[in-house]
Amino acid sequence: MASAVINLQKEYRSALKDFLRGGGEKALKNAYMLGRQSFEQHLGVLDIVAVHHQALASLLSTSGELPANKKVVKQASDFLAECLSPFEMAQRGFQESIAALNSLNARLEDEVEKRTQEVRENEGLYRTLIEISPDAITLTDLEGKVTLCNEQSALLHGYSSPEAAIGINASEFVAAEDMPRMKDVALRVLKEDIIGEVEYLLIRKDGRRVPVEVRVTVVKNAAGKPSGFIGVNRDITERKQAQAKLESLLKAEAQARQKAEMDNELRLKALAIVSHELRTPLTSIKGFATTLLADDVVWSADDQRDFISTIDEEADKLSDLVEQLLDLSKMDAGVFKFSPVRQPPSALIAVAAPHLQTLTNQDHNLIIDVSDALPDVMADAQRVGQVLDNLVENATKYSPAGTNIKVSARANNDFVEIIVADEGPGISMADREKVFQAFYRTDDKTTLKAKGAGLGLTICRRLVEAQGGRIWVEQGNEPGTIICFTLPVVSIAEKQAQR
Amino acid sequence: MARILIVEDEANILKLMSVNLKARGHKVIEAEGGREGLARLRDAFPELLLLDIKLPDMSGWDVLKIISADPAYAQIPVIVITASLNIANQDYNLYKNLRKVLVKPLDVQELTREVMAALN
Repeated sequence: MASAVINLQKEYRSALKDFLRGGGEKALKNAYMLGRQSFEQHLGVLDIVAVHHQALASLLSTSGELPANKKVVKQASDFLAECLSPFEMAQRGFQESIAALNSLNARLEDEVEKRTQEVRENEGLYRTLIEISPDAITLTDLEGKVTLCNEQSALLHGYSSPEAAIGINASEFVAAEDMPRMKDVALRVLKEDIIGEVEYLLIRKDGRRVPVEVRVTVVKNAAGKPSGFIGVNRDITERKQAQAKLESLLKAEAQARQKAEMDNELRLKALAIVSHELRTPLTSIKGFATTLLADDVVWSADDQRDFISTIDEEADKLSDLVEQLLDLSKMDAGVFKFSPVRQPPSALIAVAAPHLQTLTNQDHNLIIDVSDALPDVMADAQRVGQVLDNLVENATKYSPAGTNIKVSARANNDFVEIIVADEGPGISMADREKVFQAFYRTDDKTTLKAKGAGLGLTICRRLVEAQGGRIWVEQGNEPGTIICFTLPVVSIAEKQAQR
Repeated sequence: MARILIVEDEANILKLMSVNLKARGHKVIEAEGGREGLARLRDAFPELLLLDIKLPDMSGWDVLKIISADPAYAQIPVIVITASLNIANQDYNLYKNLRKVLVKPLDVQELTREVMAALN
């Protein structure tokens, strides 16, 4: 710059002198050229003004060179103006450039504004989409931290608003047992760039477990690199409940079918037994009648009497059996009438006692020991009498002559227990429940001779249960059979009736 | 006439068959169960066996199986008496000694007829 100023100083002085001495247009052109040159060499306007003053002063002070008058000074000013004109032009160009730049900027700003508006509109659209979605939508970073979510997502995780849910880690809301599957899906989504689907148990902030289904995919940044995940969760509680209900219905149906098949099998078995039990006495009755009628044999009077008494005995058996079968079918059909009445247990026993006495009169001693102080029960005296008849009759069949048969009663919480005990061989442990099955007979040799239809205890059980009680074979200290049955005392019976 | 073994657990039906066969000149041996019947079979060696199926200790079919498998009893005919409904389920070819199956209620005249037929 310094050398440029020195060069200018030399050239300017001679060019100015040339002009002032009447160089005219040609000399003035030199001034313009010097200005251009200076502009290109990055000299400033002040540099040129300084050089001008120096050159003019030098020319005026040197005697004989120029007349020192106002006209000369004025001419010199024209020269300087011409030298400075490139600067003026440059400045004009600069101003135009700035103006052009400004207008370009303005256009760009317009463009930016428009694009921003568009982006804002798009963002609003997506935000609305996310907000109105019935599904829970969650955006997370790669670690699972929630960066954006809708209200459904916040509520699903147990938060009151999306703002409250921002920053939570979505992976902490996955049940531990589902975590491995969740990680698998996340890895596959990252690696294969797919939409993954998985069901898992979401544990809310308050600990409630919600079955959900999630569709998840990867979110990428502007550079195309994965920056997080977007997940759409759906609460599938209702679907799961419907599924569970369907499964339980199917299971119930299968059970019902199995039960029906079993019932059917039991019915067939019962039919076979009933048919056998009916045919056996019938065979004797029909057989001895035919025997008596046979024309190729003459029977003695004793034989005839024996056969007829056998027919009589078997006819009784058949009649009893038919009676019992009828009772059971009536109970099955629900037409067996029960009329429970509030009464003391001693009254029930008193009603039954005369018949029990006739049953035991011949061979056994009947002992009745029932206190008047027992609480009242709800019971049908006729049906209780039927149960007692059965139990006492069994006792007479299975216990040796001359022994005691004892009927007693005791209170036990909400029930009164009535006990029939004999001094016979008793019932083996294995048979204690089976004796209540229809047609069941023990294999015990000692009982083989004493035969009934095998329905007595089955009927007893049904009669007792229909009155809200239970019946079972009890373990006693002495040998002998002890059968217990209960009847509900009035308070519990009322409760049962209310239910 | 003939020695006949009756295996029947129902006392009155045993008596029914017994009195009718005795009245027609046969000698009757009685047993009330399967094992007792097999024992009588060995010691009395009857010419005919009347066998009930529903016995307290074992099934009449099992008794018949044992008899059919033993060559010593090859000449003893057996008449089976049953009240069971499902006699059709049995494969009678399994039992070489089986001559007849009579179904309860028993017809006494049919019984005496079948006994005579089996003995001849």
